[in-house]
Amino acid sequence: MIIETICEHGVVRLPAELKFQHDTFTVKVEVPDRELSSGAQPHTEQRSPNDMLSQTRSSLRARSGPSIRDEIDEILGPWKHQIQSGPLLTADDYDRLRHEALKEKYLDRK
Amino acid sequence: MIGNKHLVLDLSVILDLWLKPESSRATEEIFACAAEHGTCLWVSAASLPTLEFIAVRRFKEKGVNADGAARDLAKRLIVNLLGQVKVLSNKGFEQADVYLHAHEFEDAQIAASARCLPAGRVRLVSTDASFDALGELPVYPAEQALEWMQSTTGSAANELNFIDLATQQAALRPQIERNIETVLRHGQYIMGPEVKQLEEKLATYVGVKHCITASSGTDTLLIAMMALGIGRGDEIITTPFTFVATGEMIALLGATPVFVDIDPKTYNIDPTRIEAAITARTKAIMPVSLYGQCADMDAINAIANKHGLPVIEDAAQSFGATYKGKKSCALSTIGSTSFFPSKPLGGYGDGGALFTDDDDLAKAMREIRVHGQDRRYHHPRIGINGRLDTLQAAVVLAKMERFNWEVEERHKVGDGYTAMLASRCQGIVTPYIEPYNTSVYAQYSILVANRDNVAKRLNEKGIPTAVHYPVPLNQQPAYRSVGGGSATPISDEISRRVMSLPMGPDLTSSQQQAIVEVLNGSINA
Ligand SMILES: Cc1ncc(COP(=O)(O)O)c(C=O)c1O
Repeated sequence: MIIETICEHGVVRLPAELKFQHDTFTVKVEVPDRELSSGAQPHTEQRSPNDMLSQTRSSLRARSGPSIRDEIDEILGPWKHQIQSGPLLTADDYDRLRHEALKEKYLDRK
Repeated sequence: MIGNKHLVLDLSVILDLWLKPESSRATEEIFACAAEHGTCLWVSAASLPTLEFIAVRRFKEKGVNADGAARDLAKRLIVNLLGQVKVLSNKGFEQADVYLHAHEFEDAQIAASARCLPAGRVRLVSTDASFDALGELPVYPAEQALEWMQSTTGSAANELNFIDLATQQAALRPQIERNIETVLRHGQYIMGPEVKQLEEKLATYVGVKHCITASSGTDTLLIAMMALGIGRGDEIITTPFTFVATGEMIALLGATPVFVDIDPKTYNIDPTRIEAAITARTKAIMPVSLYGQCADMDAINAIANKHGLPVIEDAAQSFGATYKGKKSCALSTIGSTSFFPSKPLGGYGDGGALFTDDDDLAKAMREIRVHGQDRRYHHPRIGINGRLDTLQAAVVLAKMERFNWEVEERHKVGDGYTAMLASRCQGIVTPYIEPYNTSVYAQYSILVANRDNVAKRLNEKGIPTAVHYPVPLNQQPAYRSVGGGSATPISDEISRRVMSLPMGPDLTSSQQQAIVEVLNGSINA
């Protein structure tokens, strides 16, 4: 079905009275050329998790797009270097992280 | 090819992917070329919360402390992951058992969630050599998993089924689970919303006004004929070279099946012989679109129109096929199909559907399906209990999500067989598809001279075969006195020589080559 709706600050919201079969699915949106500011490139701004899910789902079908490494790098963005720097994580580190995480979640909770 | 092999990624390899890029080259490669190697990637739902815990903890430790930033990063990574892999469910009913048998409960849950995947074609990918897979599946590091994925071992090549429903199930597992679970949650087991949804989807797919689902592709024939008022003393023209249901429902109504011989090339009813079989008692013509190829419906409809007869296409085997660009089931007064599990569009039990553009017939068929009622406890006509279960509708709806792809694959597999057999095997007659038809190859059936010997040799080499059908209906004991006795020499001859090979959308070309190789040896032995 084709519907008309308003795009506000880059967000397109479908009418609330529409009920959908699935929580996540892909839609095609026609953007009038006159609304594009010059130099606009698709797929730059921060994307919502839902947008990302649709995008990665379609890249799953034909993996000609970015590699998983590129996608992870894009998500980590400015944090990438900081997170991945330092000595290599060991299995013991993972165990420690797991214990600390569980401790923080269950024992340290006020 | 999708979904012949399965890799279940333990959280250790996912964490490495996010946090230790130096150690995850093989995993990156697995993601890059899984599809190309027919491999489906999975994570267990049991892994997801821990993945998040550890990632968030690490991000914080590395100074990502801004309000919610660590959690937001983890969320984005997990959502990204969920777009690339499918998720295995953990089942409540087996948790106690898994726990009792587990050394490491978390590992064991991941292993148990892979029980729904085809055994022998699954590997668990973990950096942990002591991963507790309950002894149920091999655990490989990413490098070895990559190698296994790229090799031919462990694909379906070693275990050929006549019809491979397991690969399809794995490919559709999340959708099937979702749809079944939805029915279990809403609890409308009879005529629930999925039945209506399926009818709308199927009517749109076929391109007709009405779709009426029913309890089987046998009951659909019965309902169609009841709606047309067929009964005792009437005659229905049909083919003897079909599954028994076609003639059976005619006889059950007290009518007489009049068997007309088949076309020697397509094995469908020969339209040039129909007119001679029409009498004053003829009430309908019921062609069968055998093996997935439509009968010559224009020719049949022309004769039917001339004599004022309705035509019921028994399209149990041909759903998805086309005739002169139109879909099977949209070609005559009524189209009837089956969702028997092995059919091109199969459920997980019995089911079927009727198609028509005729409003009055649609209303009659809907009423007959539910005890002949037009409203609750009001029965203007005799009917049956012929409804499709909501659960079956839910399964068929899930199958529809892959159906277009499967039809394409069926064309490729069928045409591939024909090309391979033509170039490699002598003494075999391959299926003839009319240029105006596309077949969905419900069966890929060939003619061979010494069928029993050939089948025996194939079976000995692990290649299952079947015969559709060894005895024409008019030669069956129950039908000799009903509509039998008519001479149908072409059906007799074809039924002596016909043999079906493994067929399905997930049959790989290497499997086909192996089959053709053995077949060639068997014919010439
Ligand atoms: C030609 C034909 N007609 C009717 C049927 C009956 O369908 P069902 O098994 O769904 O009752 C079949 C299925 O086996 C069939 O092949």
